[in-house]
Amino acid sequence: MTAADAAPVLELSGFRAGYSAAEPVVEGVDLALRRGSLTALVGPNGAGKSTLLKGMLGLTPVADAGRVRFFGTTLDAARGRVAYLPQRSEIDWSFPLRALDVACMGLYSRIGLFRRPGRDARLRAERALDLVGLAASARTPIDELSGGQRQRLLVARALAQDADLLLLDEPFANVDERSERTIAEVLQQLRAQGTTILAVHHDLATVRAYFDDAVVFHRRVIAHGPAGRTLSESTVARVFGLSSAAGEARA
Amino acid sequence: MDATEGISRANTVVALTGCALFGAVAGVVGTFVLARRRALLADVAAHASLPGVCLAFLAGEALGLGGRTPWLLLAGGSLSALLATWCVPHLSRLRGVGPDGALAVSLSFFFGLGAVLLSSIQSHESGAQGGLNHLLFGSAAATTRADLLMLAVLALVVLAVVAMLFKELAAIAFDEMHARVLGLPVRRLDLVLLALLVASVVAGMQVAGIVLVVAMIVAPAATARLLPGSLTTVIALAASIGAGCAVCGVLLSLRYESLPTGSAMTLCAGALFMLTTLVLAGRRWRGATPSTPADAAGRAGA
Repeated sequence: MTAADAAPVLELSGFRAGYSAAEPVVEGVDLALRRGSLTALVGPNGAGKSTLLKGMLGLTPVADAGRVRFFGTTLDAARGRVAYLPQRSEIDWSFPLRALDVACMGLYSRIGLFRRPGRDARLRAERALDLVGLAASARTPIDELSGGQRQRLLVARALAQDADLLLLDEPFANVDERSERTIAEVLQQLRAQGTTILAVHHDLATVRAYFDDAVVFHRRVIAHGPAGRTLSESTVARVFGLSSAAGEARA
Repeated sequence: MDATEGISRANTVVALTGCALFGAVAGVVGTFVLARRRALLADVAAHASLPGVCLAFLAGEALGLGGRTPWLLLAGGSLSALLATWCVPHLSRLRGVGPDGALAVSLSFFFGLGAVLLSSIQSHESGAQGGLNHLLFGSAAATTRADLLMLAVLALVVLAVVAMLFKELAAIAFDEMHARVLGLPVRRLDLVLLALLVASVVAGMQVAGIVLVVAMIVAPAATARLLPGSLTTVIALAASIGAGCAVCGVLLSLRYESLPTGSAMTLCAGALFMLTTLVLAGRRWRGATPSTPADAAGRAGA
């Protein structure tokens, strides 16, 4: 699975994360992503996909930081190279910001404390907005953006950061057709430039079209490999059947 | 400083200036406190400052500095407010308490302790004359030049900190998870915000009163958020509304002597908030403003 010329961009071994140490949401997770892979993280509701992403980034109360390696090192050493896109619903969209302000936020760690974004940062943010088709909305307050535009804005913020690894939580959730197409294209372009991408995805019908690889996940990795092969009917039936038997998945 | 002296012209100017400064600071700090969902923590800080203020008053008397030394009261009040806010996350981890229970327990325990200390001070003669008797509901008339100086310094500090950390404070208010992934020092930024909040609340309690000071933190900021504009506009608006309401409160309490200043300015701030909500709702209902793109897009996109 690993390319011969590089250490995995992201490597988890026996990783555990959740909200209480007694009952972690995900446990025993083994996963390695090679450079430039475009991977969908699929699994039933309640499988812990979002918790896995948050846990890797140290955003959950319980997370085995020692069992995650980014670019062969710790998260703190690799910060800035890792971009995270949270679920759109977790953000306060009534906050008084313009689209450009949000795109600029991808650059905040680079700008440093006490300093305002300069011309250079604004140009980069504008370029990122342009890539997702929001150039004309740069000055629009974010509460006037549609759901799909908001999602593209979050992608632009991650783009502005110019990271080598993108962790995306449901980038295609509830977006219009145009936004879905734009985001898919941007991800393909990034992959072509060598960016590694892992995205939580819930639409099994489009996994093969948008992603090269797939990780089937239910509290741990069930299967990982090329999307076509990994999403075999038996695996999907097993995992999704498993959870609906447990009453966790919607039909 | 007693009330009759407070009605003189010079003191009115001191009172008005001090209250305006406090209102402006409260609006600025409140914008971030509200966005960071810390409004109830602000109320805990305000109520919990009472025991610290009382102890500082007693310490000042004992040391011969005079009980009502603003800097001493600020230090004492801030310490006990910080102690109470520090307790909140620890209490909320206890079985069956939860975040809201922790806020309530911390607030009432510290305020209860303060109330006991206050009543024992007031039973002393020096306490009543020292001006602590207006602590609960506030009295602008008791504002001294030393209070004014303290409020002016506080206003400068708050403005400087907000200007320096503007983008970081905005980032943690808008999307904390993202800020943490970027490696911004979220915990330390929250502590800075808490320090500004506690300083504003404690410095403002002489004029706005411990019980209602939180309203001056929340209401002007909430009103400003109802109106469109960039974050800078919202902050400027919140500061202006805060200052305006504080001044109106002082004027009302000077006109009607039985009306405490804190209650009056809180009423103004609350009334302005309600009025703004009603006007906006009315305009939407009449369709005077065509529904914003967000409304339309939100409906289509959802």
